[in-house]
Amino acid sequence: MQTIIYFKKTVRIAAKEKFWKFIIFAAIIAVIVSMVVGESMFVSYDDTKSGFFAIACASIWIGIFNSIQNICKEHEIIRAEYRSGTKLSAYITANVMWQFIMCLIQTIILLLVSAIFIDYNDTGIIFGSAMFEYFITLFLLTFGSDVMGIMISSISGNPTTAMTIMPFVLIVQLIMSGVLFTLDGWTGAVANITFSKWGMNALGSIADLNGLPLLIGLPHHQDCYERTAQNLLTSWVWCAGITVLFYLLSILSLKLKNRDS
Amino acid sequence: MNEKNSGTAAKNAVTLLILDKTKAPKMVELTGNMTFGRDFPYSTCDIRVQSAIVGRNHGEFTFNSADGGWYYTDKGSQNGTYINGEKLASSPETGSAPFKLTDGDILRIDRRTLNSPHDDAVLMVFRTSLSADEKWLEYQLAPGADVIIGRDKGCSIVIPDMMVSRNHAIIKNIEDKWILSDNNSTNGVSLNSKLMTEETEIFDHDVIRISDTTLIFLRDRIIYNCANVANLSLYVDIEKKTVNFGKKTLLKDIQAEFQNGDFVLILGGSGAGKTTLIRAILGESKADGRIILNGEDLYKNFKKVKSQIGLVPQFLTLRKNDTVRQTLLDTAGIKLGRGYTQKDREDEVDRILELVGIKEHQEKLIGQLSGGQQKKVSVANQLIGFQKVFICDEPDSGLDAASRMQQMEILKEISKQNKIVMVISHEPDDAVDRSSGRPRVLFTKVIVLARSSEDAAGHLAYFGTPKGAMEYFGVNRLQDIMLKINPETEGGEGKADYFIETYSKMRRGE
Repeated sequence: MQTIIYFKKTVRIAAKEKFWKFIIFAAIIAVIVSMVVGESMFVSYDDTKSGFFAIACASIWIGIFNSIQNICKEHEIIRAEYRSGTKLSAYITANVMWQFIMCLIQTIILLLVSAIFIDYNDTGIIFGSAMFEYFITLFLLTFGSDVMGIMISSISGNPTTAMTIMPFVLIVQLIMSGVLFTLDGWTGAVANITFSKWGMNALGSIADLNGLPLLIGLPHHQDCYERTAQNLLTSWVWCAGITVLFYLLSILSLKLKNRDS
Repeated sequence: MNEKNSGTAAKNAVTLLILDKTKAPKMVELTGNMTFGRDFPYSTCDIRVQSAIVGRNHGEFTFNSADGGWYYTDKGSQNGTYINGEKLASSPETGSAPFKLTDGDILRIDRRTLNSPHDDAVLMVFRTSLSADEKWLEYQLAPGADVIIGRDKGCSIVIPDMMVSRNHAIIKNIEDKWILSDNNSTNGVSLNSKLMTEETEIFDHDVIRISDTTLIFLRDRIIYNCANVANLSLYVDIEKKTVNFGKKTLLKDIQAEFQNGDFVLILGGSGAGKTTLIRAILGESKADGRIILNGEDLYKNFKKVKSQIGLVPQFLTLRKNDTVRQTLLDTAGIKLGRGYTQKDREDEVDRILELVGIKEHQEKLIGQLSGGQQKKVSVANQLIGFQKVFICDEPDSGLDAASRMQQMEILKEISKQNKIVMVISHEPDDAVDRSSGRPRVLFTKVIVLARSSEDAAGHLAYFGTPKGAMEYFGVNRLQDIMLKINPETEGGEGKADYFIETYSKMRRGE
């Protein structure tokens, strides 16, 4: 019941705070990224990989920016409400539910806008349509990053702290994607909890990156971009798993913040 | 919210509910030191009970004026006295050490195995929040028939109290056992002074507590008080509050007791411990001591009791982009839980909007309201639900004189509805009633905290009526008390230590 109350409240307040701004931002980013990478996609391995990396980064940025300030600006309110009987899990769940809808809309827009500029391949690995698989992947990336934003916001004491942490988290996502650098040892382990790595793996698989020629040099093959159902599903499951982990950590951090001394 | 809480209530008394061999509940008012023993022709005891296992001079109830507490002493009786299930250590020569009683304590003279009471067993419940003419009702138990206790009119035992869920608890009769279970109630069930966490077999003479209603389970019936006359008491007993692993003491020796209707002013300079005190009373930062609300220890039953003590914070903790009405409806949904219909919640919100005087602004966004109106919404938001005690942290800060007075009048009105309202204010002299032509202080009690130079901790420099406070400090206005106790560096007379010591002596009766 509390989840429903908070969900309705979140939607009501989001409408008052003009949530559609975030939808427009997503569309603008989609246009910019797609215009830049559009023509060179699916021509060579290098350009297609870079193009998908840009799209993945855009999704992560959109997701994290949606929610990074949502919880931290309400800490005092949450504390007062918790005292009155609010279940912190219901509060976080309601926020996550609303962000789910936001991310759904943003992903659809991102994909539709990019499809104007990018000639995506047709055939998917698991489902018949590659577009549907791109949609699932980009949604998991956006929504996962959004929940990561909720987690950072829950941990941060105020919006300034949250906005200070955000660039560091984005840099980690960029570095750990496996696109810019080869990751092994502890960096490889850390990369396992980044959306960028699993998102790139999934996008590379659907796009069959390994089947595209290099601009210069010998044919290139990377196992992580293997066009197999197992590879794609593994990437999706990791993205979903990390999202669930961040959701639970959000609740835990709020509980720790509001515990009685 | 609760019908029982409106209008004039009977005055609280210190009472003992006694159930002896006759099995008829009897209320005895404790009016001073009173001896307790078996009823026989030449008995001189003040409280006499029908029971062969009670000694002729079994125990004594005494009042300690130094700390305002009631104590029970077993006078070395043969069968002893059990308090809340534990036998009081006692010897025939010296008797027991005095046991400090708190509202709701259960005293029994019985066999060691309390689960199978003696035919002559005696049960006594110590209460400070009931009137002496408390009404007791009986519900006859029928073999095989479950007993449903709740607010719903269809329940076997109906408790007309908003703190009670519609179907709050169930007592099931399975073969020859009676099993009590909490039916996912919002505010919980206590059995023999302990909050229930799972269904439990209950026995003859067990005491069940649901909100303000006490139910005594007997083998053939349940005796329960008519909650309509139940009142409210809050007892604050803080030995000390320390931080930094005990290295720094923030508060020391604070004892105060409040009843329903009390409108309490908390006064104190910076660093005197006002905020520490309210956080301790809220249970947010627990102190060494006890906060007893209607017989239940906040620190021991935090989950259950915390919802009854509300804080109206100094700064707005509501979402500015939501309307007043929606905010209050959501709060009603959260606080009242599933047991209340949408209409219940709407009615409650309407009542509170009227009470606080913001009905005309109900469809406005909170951010569009003035500072004074926002403060009223904060108060209204706390009024929803089960709060009995309201602690307001500077509810008048940032307001003009007229708004300050109006705010205080609203809070006074709330206290009259059988609540306790505690206020930190730096402009206490605005809280006056001028309706009779002559200004009359609205507060009923004042707590003055002062920082001792000896240990740098906040101590009680005074607790009593506003009139008494002004006489004690030799001032004509409440705010001038601060001039007396503030250090000279802050423009005061620096007499904090003197008043702390003097008040301490007064309490000890020196």
